[in-house]
Amino acid sequence: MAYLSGKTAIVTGAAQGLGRAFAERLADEGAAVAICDIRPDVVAVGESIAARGGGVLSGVFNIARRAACEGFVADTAARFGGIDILINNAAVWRSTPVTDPWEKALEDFDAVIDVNVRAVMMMSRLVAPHMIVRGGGDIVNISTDYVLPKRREGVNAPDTDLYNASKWALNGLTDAGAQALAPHNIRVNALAMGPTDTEMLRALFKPGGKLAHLGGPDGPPAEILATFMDPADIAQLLVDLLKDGRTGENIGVWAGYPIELGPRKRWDVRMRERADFTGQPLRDFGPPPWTDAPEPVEHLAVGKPTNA
Amino acid sequence: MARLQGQVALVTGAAVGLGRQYAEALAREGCDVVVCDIRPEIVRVAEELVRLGVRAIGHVADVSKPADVRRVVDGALAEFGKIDILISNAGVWRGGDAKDPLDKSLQDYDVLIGTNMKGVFLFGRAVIPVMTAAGGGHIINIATDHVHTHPGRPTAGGSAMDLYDVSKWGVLGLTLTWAKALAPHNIRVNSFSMGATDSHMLRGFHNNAPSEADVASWMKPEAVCDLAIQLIGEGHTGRTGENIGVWVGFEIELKPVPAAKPVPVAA
Ligand SMILES: NC(=O)c1ccc[n+]([C@@H]2O[C@H](COP(=O)([O-])OP(=O)(O)OC[C@H]3O[C@@H](n4cnc5c(N)ncnc54)[C@H](O)[C@@H]3O)[C@@H](O)[C@H]2O)c1
Ligand SMILES: NC(=O)c1ccc[n+]([C@@H]2O[C@H](COP(=O)([O-])OP(=O)(O)OC[C@H]3O[C@@H](n4cnc5c(N)ncnc54)[C@H](O)[C@@H]3O)[C@@H](O)[C@H]2O)c1
Repeated sequence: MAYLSGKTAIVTGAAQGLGRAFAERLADEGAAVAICDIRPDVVAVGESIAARGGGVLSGVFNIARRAACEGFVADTAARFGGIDILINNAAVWRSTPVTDPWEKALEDFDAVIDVNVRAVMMMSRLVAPHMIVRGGGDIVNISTDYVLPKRREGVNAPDTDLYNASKWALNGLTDAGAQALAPHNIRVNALAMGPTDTEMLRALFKPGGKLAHLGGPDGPPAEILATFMDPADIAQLLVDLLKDGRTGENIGVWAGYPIELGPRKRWDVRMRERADFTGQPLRDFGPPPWTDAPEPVEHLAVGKPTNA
Repeated sequence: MARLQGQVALVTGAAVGLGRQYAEALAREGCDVVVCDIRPEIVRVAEELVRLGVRAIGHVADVSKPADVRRVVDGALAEFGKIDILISNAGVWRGGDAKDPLDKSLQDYDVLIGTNMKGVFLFGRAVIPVMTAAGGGHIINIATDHVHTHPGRPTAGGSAMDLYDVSKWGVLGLTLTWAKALAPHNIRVNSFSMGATDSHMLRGFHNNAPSEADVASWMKPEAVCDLAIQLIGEGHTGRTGENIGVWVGFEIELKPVPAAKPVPVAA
């Protein structure tokens, strides 16, 4: 039996890029997938997944719209009987130099933050009750290695203040969400990765993109493409993460380094300290409720806050 | 001896709490001060600042409203012709967690992200062109120790402040990015990540009747303000892009700027 059979996963922004890779991989693992995007081609992605035999629900809507999110979550639960996994992947990247005119700054704030932060909050809030009745679940926020600068200098690009801020802001949802949902066996983690070969990244190297001087009509040249990570490898890491059972972590994925979970960053210690602090009861988290989950790895790393 | 004589400082959320203290500290150092707050008593605060021998203007303004932000910044320029220092301090707190109903969370989101993050964004973006044209400036954004904890404490303000934390992580992202973007323009951007400090907000958590022991355990606003003055006083060659931890039980001080780290080479 496939590892995720009987489970339902929502993947936002799944028309292309990482979202599509996540959806396809989760479907390959046996999950029914509910995928959405503002781009209508998400329907074709859904059809190709269905052709391989998986349960699929596709939605074309703007994730920043509350009513649409509510409808999609309700439809997903009704169609598949519950929700176990949410991958908050949809995001916009915009060049927002600090020298921009005031009116553009105002528009950019809403355009970037409504999708990259507010919609993540909305979707997470909407699925939590469904996961609670299922007795557990996983929320994975898709961040960037900008929030884990220790391995890569030059991050937090100076001309994308809002994109950068939006991804830093996700730490608040990952950290506190992991703690609030731990008693319900719901894990909240983030994948914080570097350059990955997707349409979003390639577009930067095409005419009009900020790195157009390095690329051409087809995007980046081969030597730059070779430095990008493969979305399929990130999707493998996502599956590893779901099997692992850790929570409250930003998993760093740096181009040029092995794509691996690495040792747990002592989330249990972070939880315990936090529990002492707030006077909340402790709960042992244990392995995830999936059938063939491995025993949790003993905490190996030193207790350094993930996001310091 | 005034250390910042002749400079113009803008402090948001300065009617009560830490903001008011920053404004007074800056005035004592000789700054002309522009203050704003949603509380109408901000007008009286400005009058009191004038008694310290500087010029001051108070605006009733909501930092989350673009038109209000423009009015404050344009008013400051009309009156003083420049802005050298910005302390984006206005902030609100609300509890809430991942199990909250969406209705409540969206209301909290509007207030918390609107004030704490959008307010910082708007004031920064309004003031940056002014500072760039003048050839330099200092911005201090106020975060919280939830995003930069003292050693041994995990990040986050527990399980039940997620949207407050979201807003303050966002502030950190803006700080780090602006520091990088503005270094060539002589504009320094840092943030304070502080723990419990005696303020209107903190007293409110204790039903406005904190015990003596509570108050004694908090940091004193004067110490935090003095840190801000020292930070600004470092001048154009001072640190930038630092999220400065200000923690209960630790020395309240500016650490020496660490030497530039060698760029790690990919394995
Ligand atoms: N590719 C990289 O190098 C990289 C690096 C770090 C982080 N990320 C993150 O990974 C995630 C996926 O990025 P990607 O590179 O695959 O980008 P992408 O642009 O190829 O895909 C993002 C998808 O989200 C969708 N989307 C955007 N706004 C939406 C909205 N309002 N409603 C619904 N859908 C919307 C887009 O249509 C698109 O299909 C993003 O969160 C991104 O920030 C990517
Ligand atoms: N006091 C602490 O322990 C502590 C700890 C960490 C961070 N902080 C941060 O320090 C800053 C100041 O906090 P404080 O404790 O002095 O709080 P406070 O409530 O005592 O003062 C905040 C001031 O901001 C004003 N304000 C709120 N919303 C506003 C808006 N939309 N527009 C304009 N003004 C607005 C309030 O009216 C008030 O005068 C905040 O950003 C807070 O998050 C405080």
